[in-house]
Amino acid sequence: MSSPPRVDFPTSDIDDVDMDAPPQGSPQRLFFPGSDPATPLAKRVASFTPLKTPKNRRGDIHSSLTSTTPRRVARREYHNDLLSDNVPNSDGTHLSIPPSSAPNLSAPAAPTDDPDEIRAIWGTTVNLAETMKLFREFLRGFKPKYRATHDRGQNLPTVAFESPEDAEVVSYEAQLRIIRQTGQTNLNLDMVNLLAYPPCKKLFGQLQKYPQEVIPVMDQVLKDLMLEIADEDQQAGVDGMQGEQGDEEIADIMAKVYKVRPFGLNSVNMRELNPSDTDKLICIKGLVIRATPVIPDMKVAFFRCLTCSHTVQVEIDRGKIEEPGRCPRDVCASVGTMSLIHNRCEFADRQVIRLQETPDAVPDGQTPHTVSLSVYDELVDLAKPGDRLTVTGIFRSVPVRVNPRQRTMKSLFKTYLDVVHIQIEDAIGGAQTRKIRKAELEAKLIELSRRHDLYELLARSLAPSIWEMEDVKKGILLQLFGGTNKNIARGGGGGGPRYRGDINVLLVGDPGTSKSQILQYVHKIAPRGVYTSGKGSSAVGLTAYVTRDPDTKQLVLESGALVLSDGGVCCIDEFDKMSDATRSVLHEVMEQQTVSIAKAGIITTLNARTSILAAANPVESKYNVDLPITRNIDLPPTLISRFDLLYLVLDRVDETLDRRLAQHLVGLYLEDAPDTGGHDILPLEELSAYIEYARAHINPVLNSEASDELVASYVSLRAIGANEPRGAEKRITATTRQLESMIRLSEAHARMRLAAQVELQDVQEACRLMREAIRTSAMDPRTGKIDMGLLNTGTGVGQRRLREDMRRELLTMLDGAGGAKSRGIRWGDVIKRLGEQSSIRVDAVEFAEVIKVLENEGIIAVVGERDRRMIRKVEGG
Amino acid sequence: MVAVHAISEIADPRKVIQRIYDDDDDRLDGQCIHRLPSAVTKHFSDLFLRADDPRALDQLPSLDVSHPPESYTCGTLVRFRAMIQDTSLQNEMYLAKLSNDRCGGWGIQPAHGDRNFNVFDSDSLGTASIFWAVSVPAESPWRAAGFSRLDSTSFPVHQSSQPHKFPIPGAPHIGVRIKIYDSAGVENLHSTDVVTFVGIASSEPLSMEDDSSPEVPVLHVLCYQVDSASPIPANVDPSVREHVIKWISSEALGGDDDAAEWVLLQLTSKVHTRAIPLLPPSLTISRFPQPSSTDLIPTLSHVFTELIPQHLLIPLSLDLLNKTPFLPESKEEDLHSGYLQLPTGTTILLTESALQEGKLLETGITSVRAIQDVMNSQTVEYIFPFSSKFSFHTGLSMIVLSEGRKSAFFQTSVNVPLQCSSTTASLYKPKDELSLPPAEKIAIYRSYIVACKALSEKVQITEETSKHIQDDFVRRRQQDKSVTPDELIHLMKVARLLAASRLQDEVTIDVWEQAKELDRRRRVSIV
Repeated sequence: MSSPPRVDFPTSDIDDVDMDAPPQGSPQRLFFPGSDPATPLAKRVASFTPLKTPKNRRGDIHSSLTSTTPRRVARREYHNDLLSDNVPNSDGTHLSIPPSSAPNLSAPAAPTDDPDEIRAIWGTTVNLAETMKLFREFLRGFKPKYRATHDRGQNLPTVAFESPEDAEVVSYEAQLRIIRQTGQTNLNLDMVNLLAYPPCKKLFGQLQKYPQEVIPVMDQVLKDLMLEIADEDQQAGVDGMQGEQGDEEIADIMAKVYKVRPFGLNSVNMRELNPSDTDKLICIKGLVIRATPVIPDMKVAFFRCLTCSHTVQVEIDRGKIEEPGRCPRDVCASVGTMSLIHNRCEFADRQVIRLQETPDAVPDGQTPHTVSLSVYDELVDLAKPGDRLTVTGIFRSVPVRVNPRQRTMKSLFKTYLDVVHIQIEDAIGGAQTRKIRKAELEAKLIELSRRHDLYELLARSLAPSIWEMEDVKKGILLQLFGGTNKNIARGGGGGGPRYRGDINVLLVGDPGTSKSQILQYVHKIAPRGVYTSGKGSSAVGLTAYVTRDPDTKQLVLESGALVLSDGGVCCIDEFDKMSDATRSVLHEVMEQQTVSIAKAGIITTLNARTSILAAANPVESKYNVDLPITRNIDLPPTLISRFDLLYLVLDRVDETLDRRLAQHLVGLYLEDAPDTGGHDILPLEELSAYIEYARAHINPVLNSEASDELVASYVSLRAIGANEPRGAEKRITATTRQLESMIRLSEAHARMRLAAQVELQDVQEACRLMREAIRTSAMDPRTGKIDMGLLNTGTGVGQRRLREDMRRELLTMLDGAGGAKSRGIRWGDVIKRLGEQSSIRVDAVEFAEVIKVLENEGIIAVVGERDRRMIRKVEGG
Repeated sequence: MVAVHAISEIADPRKVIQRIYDDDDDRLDGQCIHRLPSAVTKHFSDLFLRADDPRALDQLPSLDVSHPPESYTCGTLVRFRAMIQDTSLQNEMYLAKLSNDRCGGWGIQPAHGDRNFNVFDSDSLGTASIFWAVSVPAESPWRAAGFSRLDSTSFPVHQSSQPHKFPIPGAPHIGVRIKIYDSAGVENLHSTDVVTFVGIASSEPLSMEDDSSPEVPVLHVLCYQVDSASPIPANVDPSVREHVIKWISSEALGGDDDAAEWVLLQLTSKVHTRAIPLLPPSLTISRFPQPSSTDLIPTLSHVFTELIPQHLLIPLSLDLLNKTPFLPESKEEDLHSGYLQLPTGTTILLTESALQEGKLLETGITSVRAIQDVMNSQTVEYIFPFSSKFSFHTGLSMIVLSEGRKSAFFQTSVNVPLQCSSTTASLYKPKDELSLPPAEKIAIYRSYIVACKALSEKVQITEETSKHIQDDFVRRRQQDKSVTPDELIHLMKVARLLAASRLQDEVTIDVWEQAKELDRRRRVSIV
């Protein structure tokens, strides 16, 4: 491609322009064949775009702009009284108001797509031609090794290249080819790379300070390069670029609008934005709380004179279109005849987003601030309410008019951001952290993972203020790491059944055993932790509900705690006090990991891949050790069995323990000298970072040794019951659910070690934890044996035997009383007589259960109410 | 001398700002307008916020319920003692440099056709922080009178334009948009902080962009001062304790001295640390007789109004719980207030006498939970869309009056059954039947409570007492398995407060035993 000579105007020329002259700053984007090419006006880049090419109009850049308006000199005219000043077609020479709009848009006149003028940013030494040259050099010359050198210079850890060639790849050329092959139009530009490439250092500053001017220049360079590379590839006969195919590709590129989307600036807190940031490129983070529907944003208005049919196009200027007051044609000049022709106007997509500070960015004791974002074109509808974003954009401040119909203004300004780049933060988080910082952190975390006492250290660091409870902490620690989610690829449909990797933990125990404190702590460190109390939350709070958006009056779905904690941990306190409706939702969440909604015409299933950490109090608030666990917790066994680990946290009396506890407490509450236990512990942030890292990067798989051990452990767990000397009672000790739990726990343990494989030691620890948890939870209080049947059906073997005895005795008693002929026996009498026969007290609840079963089987009938109840045998029973 | 000078300042504060601007020597460096706000703050602080002369402020007219914003002409210099309600308002940019060498901000309007205003560069813009502040809610009249004259004006009762931004629905108050131009230190202004602002009264439409929106009062702040804790009164006689208990007991609790002592401990408690939760206890006075009519106010509330600076009575009813917000909530980016958005140090008296059978709705459940959260952890959660972590620290002392054995809704750390030896009517006697001690005595009572509060942070323990408490715990646990560690924690908290209420800075064995005895008597009476 030939490139015509470039003429560089010295910047001083431009400085000579009288600042107070009628504004030169109106958009010069349009290129008119008739206008004087030598006007000392900065011409818009887009004016050089080739034939057939759409105008490069970016909402983010041009929306409110005065294009190449000098900054410092810098004045913006907001008070245009002269009609002609508002017509963008005027380039200040007043020469070129076109007779009609036709040539402007449909037939741009520039015959080549090469830049033939120079621009400079007024009042600065920035020369746009030079900027173009630099950027071209950058795209053609940047290699990863520069970045590595830069990072080392900043004392940031770098990732080693796998081979020397990797460091020498011309990254952006490769990327441009990918862009061409995939038909994209956006180039995401990491601004740190600009800093890292020595010849282009100053581009970074220019881009940050004058995005308005520099970004369009970069767009232009990008397009030129796209064409050049395509051309080169065609010459070289690269696959897919030969002959006609190549021509087509090139024509395709010509027709496209390419956009450079810079990112990678350090984010600033949105409350620190101040006037000096106006029109600069900045980066902020936040949470989307509201997004308007897509607004068709008029870019160019098309007016036609009703009298003489003369047409005029008016471009948007600072968010406003000035309607021409009279026909601009001197011969006509009728007043008030210009009418808008809607279907010949140009529109673009626009959306206004309200971005709120995230809780972690808000200073203590403050409420969060909010800023408005204007997003355009492809970025529209990219972010939904609830998303966390890192946004790069141009900060704008525009004066507020006292009255939209008036031209007078207040001395107040409203501010917003024209967005050029959006990055949605990953569910797991961490993705937004800069790579370098990540590398540094990783190195630290990997070093940490090599500590031999890692497991103990992490467990100890979890809720350090809570006394003892080592195994509970270890269980919760593994829950935070989680097992791996598995999809069975084979099997029905696209993906077969999903096996959850999330570990659910239930704590049951006496009041005042710091269960809530543990929950609160986990909520703090867990990624996407949500804390809710079973008592206060209705089904709505835990799942999702449908509301009407105040702006759009449309129905919108708002997520509840479970959906919000997708990919995290949902802590539910007072689990036993939860309503039945909510609990039924949990059945679905805990196995299928989805929440189904059918409300107000919206039927959908939302993901809720969440682990649940729940705490419950025993039924009579104090745990009754004489009763089986299912009688102590008022929860359906189906739900209990969905917890991988169930811990009983009981308050025991023991002199030495008590003394230590008292010492601890007195020290804490009266002496102001909290005892940290003298151990080193990991700060909360580090622990949290470690867990995040492990969850994001490690997906361990079972090795054969570990599988064997799992099988062996499972068999032995089941065998505990089978090998009973009194073999008559086969008790179920472990079920496949427990095997699955064991796998999950082993995976979590391996993940904690940052290991790629699940090894023997992982399985052993998982089994130990399971045993510990089972020992305390599934121990049959009567026999002292582990009995999973207790959890799965609610009755243990011992209890079942007891019931059978009771049933037998009852039937004998009824037969003795005259069978079906008699009136039956009083309820109370039966219990009394049974009690006389038995060595242990007859439990009224147990008795009622037996009666219910017999009644259901149709053997006996119960008549009467309350104390007057009579039990009698049914005819033929 | 100072006073004369100050009067001229009051007359036309904006002229003074311009003078300060003019006095800046190197005005040409462009940074002048950015130095102006701190110069203005300094100038007016030196005039009105004088440590050596706390009365300097009193020269200024006060903005309060009896002197509402409309009683002042636009541009008057006033003071406004207020609670910050909303800190989420976006900063505002204003033109700081007008033409003809005039400065902007503080509501200074550009002259018509000001050229600088039409053509500006970002260097001439300044930033103002915006807050919403309301008159201090639940403030006792004697306290408020200490800050302004409570004479009645001829103005009709002020109707706030933003009533949803005041914690107590229906209560007279004023709400003002606060604009602070000096950015130094604004990040230290928190929600529910009580601040005295000195500024220029004015008004503007609620919405910047919509002229038809209602006008709201605006205060362009010149200087401000966050309310610090009252000075600790010296030389308070510990014997005042008995007088205060006797007075509370005879006037409001039907002669039950124990209940009065618990009430006193409750009034003198405050948040000490959160790391190890040493928070104020919460108190239920159970078996508190029902009034003959539900709209009667317990005399205890009048007593509190006399004794403590901030007190709020919330007569709980299903309707109130279901309909009135307790938590501040951001709706459409406007932070609505709730009952619990109160300044630290407020004592809330909850009565359950108006409760009837009925259904507690979703809002009601949230409200009950919110109150319980304050009792348990002294935090108030502000509701923001898509966020669940905006939990704010607070310091509210809660007392519940319940007819039953315990409160219908709340788990309080202390439950004291009332042993009333007089008629029910005496518990509900109106304010004018209250037999007030002489004014100077009431003043001593008030400073005694302040002294106790201040001291409760400094209570220490000796090695010997510590050992005694530990042995005591182990021994009691051996004897009775139901003794829990929680009980030990509870007793230690009581002992702390008890020591402070005796104006001692140490928990002695004597105090410990008394705390145990006090608590034992309470437990016995529960059964």
